[in-house]
Amino acid sequence: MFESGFEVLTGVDTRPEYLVKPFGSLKDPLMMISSYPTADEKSTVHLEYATVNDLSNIGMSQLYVKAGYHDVQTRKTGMLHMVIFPRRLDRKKVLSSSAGVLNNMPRVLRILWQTFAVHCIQLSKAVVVCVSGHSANQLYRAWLKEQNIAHNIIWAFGIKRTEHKLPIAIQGFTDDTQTRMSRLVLVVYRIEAFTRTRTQRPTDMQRNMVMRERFLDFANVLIHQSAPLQPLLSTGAYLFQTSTGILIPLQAF
Amino acid sequence: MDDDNSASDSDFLSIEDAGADSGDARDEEEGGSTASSDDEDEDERASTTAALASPAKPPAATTAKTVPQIINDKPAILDPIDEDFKAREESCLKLNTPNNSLFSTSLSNQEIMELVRNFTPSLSRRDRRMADFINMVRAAVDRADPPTFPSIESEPQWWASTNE
Repeated sequence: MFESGFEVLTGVDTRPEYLVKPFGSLKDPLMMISSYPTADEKSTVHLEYATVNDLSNIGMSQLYVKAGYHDVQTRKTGMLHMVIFPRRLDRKKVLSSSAGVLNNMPRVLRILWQTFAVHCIQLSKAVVVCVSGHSANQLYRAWLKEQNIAHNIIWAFGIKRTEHKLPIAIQGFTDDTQTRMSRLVLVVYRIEAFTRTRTQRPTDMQRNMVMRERFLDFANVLIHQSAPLQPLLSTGAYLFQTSTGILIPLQAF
Repeated sequence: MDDDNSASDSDFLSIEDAGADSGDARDEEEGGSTASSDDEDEDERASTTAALASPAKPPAATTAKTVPQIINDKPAILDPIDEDFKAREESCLKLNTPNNSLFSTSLSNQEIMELVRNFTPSLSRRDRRMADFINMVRAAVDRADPPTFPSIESEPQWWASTNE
């Protein structure tokens, strides 16, 4: 699939021109952080998309739609989107992918791009940050710890029950007294996880998913005073097709 | 409409409470199962000791039961499981109703804020800072100075200049 001589690592395209670029402004009030662009032809229609706002990627497309960027009249400001590793990765080809795909990347390469992502996180003026996935969550919390920024992590049910559990939100404060909040970080699963857990009947897991999505609605209300397409990710309330852009609200019979 | 929403919110609250309770209940069940296994071990040890101390007795003769008797003699331990399952079934059905706030597709801004605020009960067992959290988020967003995107009013009247 890739040109010979360029595929140094299994599952990663290392051609220099295949770096996807960040998109958005450091002044945008909303920042989104995801893990890496995918190189799976089943999830990404157009593998040569140049920027991280890959609307041909099913997961990213759903995330942008959820943020309200599916319609020109919905939002007045843009959104900064960062990936912490901007090379396309094929999760199925990366060895030992179950333990974390990025951990299998060369350390020098990984640190270079993580440093760049952290630099943009530091410079960003965003008051609300949406972190999608475990890798992005780990990077953001490592940055909080490294910069010694006062913060409060909010867990579901008030405690961290498992090692890899994602928090609901992280409050960043301007001072150690934790009286003035500087940034709200909302942590959600990867969009693929929302898609995987859609069921015909509401289960505990689906309630968890919907509640996480409701926090995204909450962020939309805070920033833009409107929350369109609720709940899009975690239920089958909409028919959404990436390749054609069809978005039809469905109604329960 | 407001009544419906408030009713659905209360439904959501009860379900969230039930979820929190079920989580704790699960923990308790885990603890309970451990305790029960210990009890079983003790019972086994006690029965073994008793068997060693006393001579073996012939097994009691079993009497054949009719089907209605077996149904009436169902173990009592099955009842709580059935009730729990029934409650979960009802809660699922309740969530499936169109007016349920959690799965509703047309909540107002205020209803979304209330929904997140109502998430407090599941956090409040160990963390009662959710209300402060909401207030601080509001204050931070209000205090922030979002960049202003050039509006239509700020655009030059290019059509006028073209006409000239």
